[in-house]
Amino acid sequence: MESRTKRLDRRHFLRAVGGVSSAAVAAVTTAITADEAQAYDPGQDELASRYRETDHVKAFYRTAGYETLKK
Amino acid sequence: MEEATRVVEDTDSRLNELAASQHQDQQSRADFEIDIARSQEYALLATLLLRVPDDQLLERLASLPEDGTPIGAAHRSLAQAASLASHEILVRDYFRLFIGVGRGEILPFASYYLTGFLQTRPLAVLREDLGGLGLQRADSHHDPEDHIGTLCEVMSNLASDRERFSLADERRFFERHLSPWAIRFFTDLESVKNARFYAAVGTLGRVFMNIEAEAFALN
Repeated sequence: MESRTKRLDRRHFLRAVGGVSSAAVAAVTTAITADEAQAYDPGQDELASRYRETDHVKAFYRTAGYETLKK
Repeated sequence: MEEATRVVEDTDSRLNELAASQHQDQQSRADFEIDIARSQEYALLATLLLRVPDDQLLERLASLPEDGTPIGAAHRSLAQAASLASHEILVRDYFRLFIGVGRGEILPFASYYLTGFLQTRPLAVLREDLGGLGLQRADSHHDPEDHIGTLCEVMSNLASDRERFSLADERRFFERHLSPWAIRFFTDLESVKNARFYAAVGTLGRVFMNIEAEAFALN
């Protein structure tokens, strides 16, 4: 009986300090979970090679004197 | 006549039993609703402490209402801070506060708060307790388990799964792993400079941890 009274106290206490805010938090956090479930799709990026001979890379070879190594 | 009286008595006692069991159902439903609300509050703190919220989440946070309770007031100041924040700004604030170059302004780990060093005995004790509860760190997660966000996530799971975890399990976990330092951590977070959103997260955390500590003491 004593533990039941204490349980009631705890319930009343938590209700008094939490009020209806919890419902609003539920709406926010449910949405978070829904967002997290979406998988990231890398698309074509996953297949792309990482090294590309861009203008910047070509300029680096040129200025660093690697021109002779690039047949 | 005697028969009839007994039947009436039987019906009465059955009705009483039924009323008592309905009352108990209502009470356990009330307990369940409170536990789910607590679980959601922990989940919210875990989300805000483990990763930077995107603009959509900030928009939703901005609509959290004020309802006159201590938690409601903390939600309101979080909502105001969220309405002034953007993902881009928070990425910088989060980095400065929790990661940093070398180290952040605040180290959100139990080991650090309790011993002054990272990955020490409190982490070992925590791992042992998590093992006992059948929980372990996800492979995709690299921070030590005594990160405040992870601890909030564990509390959220404990509170929402009464079939697996009792209130006593929850209380034990809270008292061993959050109560010794969480209020200190959230108070530190509350007083950070130039990061209004995270200061509001600190306030919400401090208010909620105080309520939890008091509620577990009533248990």
